[in-house]
Amino acid sequence: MDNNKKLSEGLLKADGIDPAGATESERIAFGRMLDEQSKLRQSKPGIAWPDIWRMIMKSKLTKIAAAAVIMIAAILVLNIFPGPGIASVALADVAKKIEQIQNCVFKKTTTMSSESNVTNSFDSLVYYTQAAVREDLYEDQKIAYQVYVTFSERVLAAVDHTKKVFRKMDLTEEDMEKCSPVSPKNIVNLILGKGEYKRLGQKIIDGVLSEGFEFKDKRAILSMDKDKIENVVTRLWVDVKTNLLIRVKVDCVLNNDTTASVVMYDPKWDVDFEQDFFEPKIPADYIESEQRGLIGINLENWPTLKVVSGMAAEKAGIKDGDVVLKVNGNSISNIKSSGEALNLLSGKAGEKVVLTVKRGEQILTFEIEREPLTE
Amino acid sequence: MEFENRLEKIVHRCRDGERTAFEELFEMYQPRLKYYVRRLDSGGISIDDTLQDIWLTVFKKIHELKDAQVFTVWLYRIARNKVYDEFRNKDRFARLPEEDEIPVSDNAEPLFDTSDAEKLHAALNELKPLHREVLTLSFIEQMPYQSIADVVGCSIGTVRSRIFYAKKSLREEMERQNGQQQEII
Repeated sequence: MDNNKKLSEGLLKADGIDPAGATESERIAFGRMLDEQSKLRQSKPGIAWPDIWRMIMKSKLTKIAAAAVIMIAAILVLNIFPGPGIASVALADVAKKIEQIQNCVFKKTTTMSSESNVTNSFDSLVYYTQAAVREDLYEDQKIAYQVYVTFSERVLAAVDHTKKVFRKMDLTEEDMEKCSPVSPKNIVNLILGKGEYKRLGQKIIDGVLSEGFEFKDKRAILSMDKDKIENVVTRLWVDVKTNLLIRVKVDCVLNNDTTASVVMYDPKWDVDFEQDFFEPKIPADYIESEQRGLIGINLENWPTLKVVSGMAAEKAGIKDGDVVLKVNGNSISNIKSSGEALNLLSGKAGEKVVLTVKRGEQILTFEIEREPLTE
Repeated sequence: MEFENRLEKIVHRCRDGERTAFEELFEMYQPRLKYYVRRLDSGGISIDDTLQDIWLTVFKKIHELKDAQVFTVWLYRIARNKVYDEFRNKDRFARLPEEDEIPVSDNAEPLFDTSDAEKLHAALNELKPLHREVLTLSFIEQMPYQSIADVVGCSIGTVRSRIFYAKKSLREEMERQNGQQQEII
């Protein structure tokens, strides 16, 4: 083997990569990607069945809320080590330093995976003050989801801009206790006071020499449902020169076989925010996710319909193969994609939508009442 | 030339939409591509997702590739753009690493021991991201300077300068690590 090839293979092996080829799981994932792309080439792009869509929509907001909750606690943790002299710092000094920090912004990547290999990854910017937290999750350079937590009102609001829905949740007394502005002190006591942490030594993180700390107490993580958390490992990395936090990584295992990994990095400290920056901004036409309803049609071959058995559209008389001409009396000639159709047809449960369809030579009109979402 | 000829044939078959050709291409490049993507300053993005995304783009765009001979450069350029696009997308504060073109003479390249890949790998990880990137391309794909310049999107002079300083830093880092090991012993 020539030296160049030997060097290349040696480097790959040193990084745990087999130079001979892809791993089995990579092969499977690549094969799936090829399958999906081939299918897409053969058929018109469409969306999944409405019941699957309903499940995803539901779970996505739930997941975002869960991700936000993990974030809140981790931020509290983030405030523990901003002071100088990490190795010898007195707890009182740490607590004092916490009180000095008014706000910060940092980047975050949250990855949640389940045993069935479904992975959801969210990239976001998180804005934090002692009074509120806001997280903006980006997709295609646009804010797709937002989560606001206002401590004074004990409210967590999640907004899904892609579906124009939102959800508001009340935080319990117990949740509030953990995310209240004074609680970092409690966490300092919890972690440093009892000495329940491990030093990870020094390492280059993001090109900076940093010192690491690890602790495993799950009380450091806020959760809506504590019992679901099996274990939590939090690692903090602090720049040894500036004593500022560089990176936080939180790995949680939940007992429903879901793992969540949160990486926060590149914080900016003491940033100025507009006064209303942390107030949830929900446009008037957005619907509470609980109020959203479905008519039970598959839009995959829009404007040709396929009904979901037992749901409102079928009950109203819509049949497989009906071709939509009008929605609520308006022509659909400019609604080309199933995504646009989804927006047009979605709305509150209990409200009605009128579909004019072509069935063979007949033109028929149906009034369909949206059904409420159920789990 | 044998490799180039084989690659050209595979790329042509890919353009014809032949599934097994894509699979061959994937097997050929995935390990080194993964090593490269891991070495970029990616700011915490998911490497597996990014690699999938890179291959998806290859699949969708390979018919646009005019010259099969430049496939390797094209692939690494896609990879680089994907990583930095994702980084920028989620990062309003992102700044790409700064340029550092300093003229260097051709005959002064620092020498270092390439026989111990593990040491080299460890030292490579400690370099500045821009230095790490050019050396990675040079080590794993044996890319000539012009190809590296095409991937990175800078002049050949900048590549020459970066490689010079990268090798210098690498040598210093390896010496430092050797020193540390001796202390422990």
